[in-house]
Amino acid sequence: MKSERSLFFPQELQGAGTADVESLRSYVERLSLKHRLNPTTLVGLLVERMPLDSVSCPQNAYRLTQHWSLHGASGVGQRLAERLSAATTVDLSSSTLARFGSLFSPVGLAATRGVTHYCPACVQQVGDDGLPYGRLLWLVGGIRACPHHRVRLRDSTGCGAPLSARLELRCRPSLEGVCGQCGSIGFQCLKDQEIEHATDIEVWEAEQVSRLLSLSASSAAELSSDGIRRGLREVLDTRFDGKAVNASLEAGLARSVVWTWVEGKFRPTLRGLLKFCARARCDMVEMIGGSYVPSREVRSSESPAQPRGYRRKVLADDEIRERMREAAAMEPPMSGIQLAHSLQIDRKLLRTRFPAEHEALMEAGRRHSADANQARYLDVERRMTTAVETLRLKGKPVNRKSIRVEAGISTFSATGNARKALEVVMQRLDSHAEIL
Amino acid sequence: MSNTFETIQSDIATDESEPSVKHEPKGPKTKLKAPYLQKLTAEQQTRQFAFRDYRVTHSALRRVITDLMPLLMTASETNVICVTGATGVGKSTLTKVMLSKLVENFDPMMEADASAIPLVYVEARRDGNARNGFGRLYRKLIAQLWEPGMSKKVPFTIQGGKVVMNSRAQTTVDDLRELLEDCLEQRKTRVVVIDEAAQLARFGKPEDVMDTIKSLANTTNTKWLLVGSFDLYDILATNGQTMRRMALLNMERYRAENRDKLDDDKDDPKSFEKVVKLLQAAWPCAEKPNFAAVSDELMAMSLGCVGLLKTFMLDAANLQMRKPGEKWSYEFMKMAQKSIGLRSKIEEEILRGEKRVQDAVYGNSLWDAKKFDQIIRLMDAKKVAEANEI
Repeated sequence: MKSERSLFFPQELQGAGTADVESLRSYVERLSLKHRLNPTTLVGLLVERMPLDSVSCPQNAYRLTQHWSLHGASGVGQRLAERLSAATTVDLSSSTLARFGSLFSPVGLAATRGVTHYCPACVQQVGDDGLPYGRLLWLVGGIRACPHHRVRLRDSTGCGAPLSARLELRCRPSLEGVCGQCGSIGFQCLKDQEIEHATDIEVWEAEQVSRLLSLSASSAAELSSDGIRRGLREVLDTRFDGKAVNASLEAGLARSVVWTWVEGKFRPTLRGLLKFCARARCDMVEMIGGSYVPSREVRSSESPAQPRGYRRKVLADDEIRERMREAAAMEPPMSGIQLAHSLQIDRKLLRTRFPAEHEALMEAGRRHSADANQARYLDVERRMTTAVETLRLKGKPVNRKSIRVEAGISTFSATGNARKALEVVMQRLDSHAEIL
Repeated sequence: MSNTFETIQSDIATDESEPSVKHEPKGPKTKLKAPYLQKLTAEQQTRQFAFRDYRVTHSALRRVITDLMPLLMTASETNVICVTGATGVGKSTLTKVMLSKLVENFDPMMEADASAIPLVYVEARRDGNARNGFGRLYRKLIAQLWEPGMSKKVPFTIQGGKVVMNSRAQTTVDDLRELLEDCLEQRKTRVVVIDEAAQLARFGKPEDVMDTIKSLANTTNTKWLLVGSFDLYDILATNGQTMRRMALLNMERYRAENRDKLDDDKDDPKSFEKVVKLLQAAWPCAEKPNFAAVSDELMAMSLGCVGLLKTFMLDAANLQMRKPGEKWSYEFMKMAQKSIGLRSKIEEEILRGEKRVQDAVYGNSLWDAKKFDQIIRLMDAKKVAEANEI
């Protein structure tokens, strides 16, 4: 019908057709802001008008926007992008990795249920609306660097603003490139924090994935699993004398992994393929296309790929006991899992063969946790006490809410430190104790 | 969601629409009632509605549309265009005809882009609530722009390099204005039509109202067409800055003194007679009175306003329909016309309004005929001299 109009007014997908293409999450968040809606409300309105038709698709918009697990090869993200494209008349097919879903294993393809990352330099660049946007590249599993600025990505949970400058929960924005706690655009709250430089291998990996993301829709459609297998064979023949096991071990993968890829038993993981290509010094995008093209040299000293060791670790019991005692005396004490990993032995072995030392190690851990918890409690109580004094000086009412707001502390749990400290402070107030 | 296009389509299509019928006509045994109690049959109601919705595109209307369309469709700095006119002169008909023409013009754009809403139409009706006039107008406009989730809006502010959401705050007029600006820009809106725009005077001080409209037109690069009675002029003539970007068109009524012109289209009595004939041809009863024979008298009676003529004829037709056998009586003409008191009140208001706007109307030039001839001669002479030099 001619008079039928799109559900939302369109918003341009930033960086479309380039390596800096915007992620679906960032698009939804910016579109929501433009429409003055909460992202969950916007997705809810969309799903209400255009239901996601699969059983596996949660109808509940809250579940879709809770973890934003939409950027990998999952059908949910793809269908949401399709519906949002129809609702905005903007092509969003490149805003997720779904177009590469048939090439790679879905495992670890995109970050899920975790914190998001951002490049501290990229988020300083703002668009016409005065806001930065989130790149799809930052959500690709295993990518730790920005290829343009050669810096490490930061996780977006950190906030450098003082507690008093942090926003109330209801005022906090949900936008990529904007601090979720204080609302500062481009994470200006962390501008004094030193920017970490990325290693050569991290930058190389980011460059390879950038090139993959910048492929046009037609070029991406030409890629196939057969092409990857062809490329893998060519690389194996050229660089590893046709030996898949050698290639796997050198790339730090399990010995049969590359063989399963070549034989088409499993689709390669993107992270695994990056490791393999880094070791083989070949261009990943060309290899996916079916040919071997040497890549630039990556400094091997920085390469994280360590050949996987299959030899049994031989350690004397006394040596293990000594290491367990040292671990218990450390500050903070090492956990059993960490110790077992460092010794390259089974973690159950520590409990079964060295019960006394294991118990001592556990006790040290418990003691450390209790001390840390007590320190956190004291800190919260101190901040709340200070807040009470500040409120009194300002002549403002002193109650649970005003104390929480002034101290910049949220009390989510009924048993948490913040709640306990608040109760103690309120009791002191009621009995006119030493708080004054 | 009802929008401008649906409204226009339904208006245009009303000729074929079936009115709702609640009572079936009774059989021949039914006792005849007094005319005012006589209920119309479904078929009579259909004819009545068809006559009510019958619109005549007469010459006065065409003249305004000819002036108006270029103003609306071109990229000029004149972005607030006002159409005034006497009550019953046909402003509502003008608006509807003009909207359908604009929709035709914007059709290709709408076909190509499903998100585009190039034309928005609202009425600034008075609804008994004197407060928050602009807020309600913005809401109406935003609704016409298909904006979803109006009850769930979360305003936000960006200041000092920070984004702050105001989730519990009530949506203010400023928030609505910002949202409207975004909607108009992103939906590629070109023309905003406000009918009954004289009601805008109740939204605040006239200069504030016009400043708001002007700044909205500027920031969103849209043309705003305000249609209303002569009262609209009071809010327009506030300051020079506003007037600079504004054009005022007055929809003229037909006048007996505009007679015997060479151009038939500019001969008001003839044009009015055509209108009478057209309405007479569409008369809803079988027995058609010869109104055309008394078109001059009807023009005087209706003060040259087609809308008033239509009201008169519609009332007369209603009376005829309720008469057994739909028999015409000349008495209907006396009953249907406005009383002397009402007519003189209307006339007084029209004359006062016309006097107010006569100098501001679009096309009323500073130069009189003599001065204009002189200017033309000068320009032509200069052109000839330049051509000779070359």
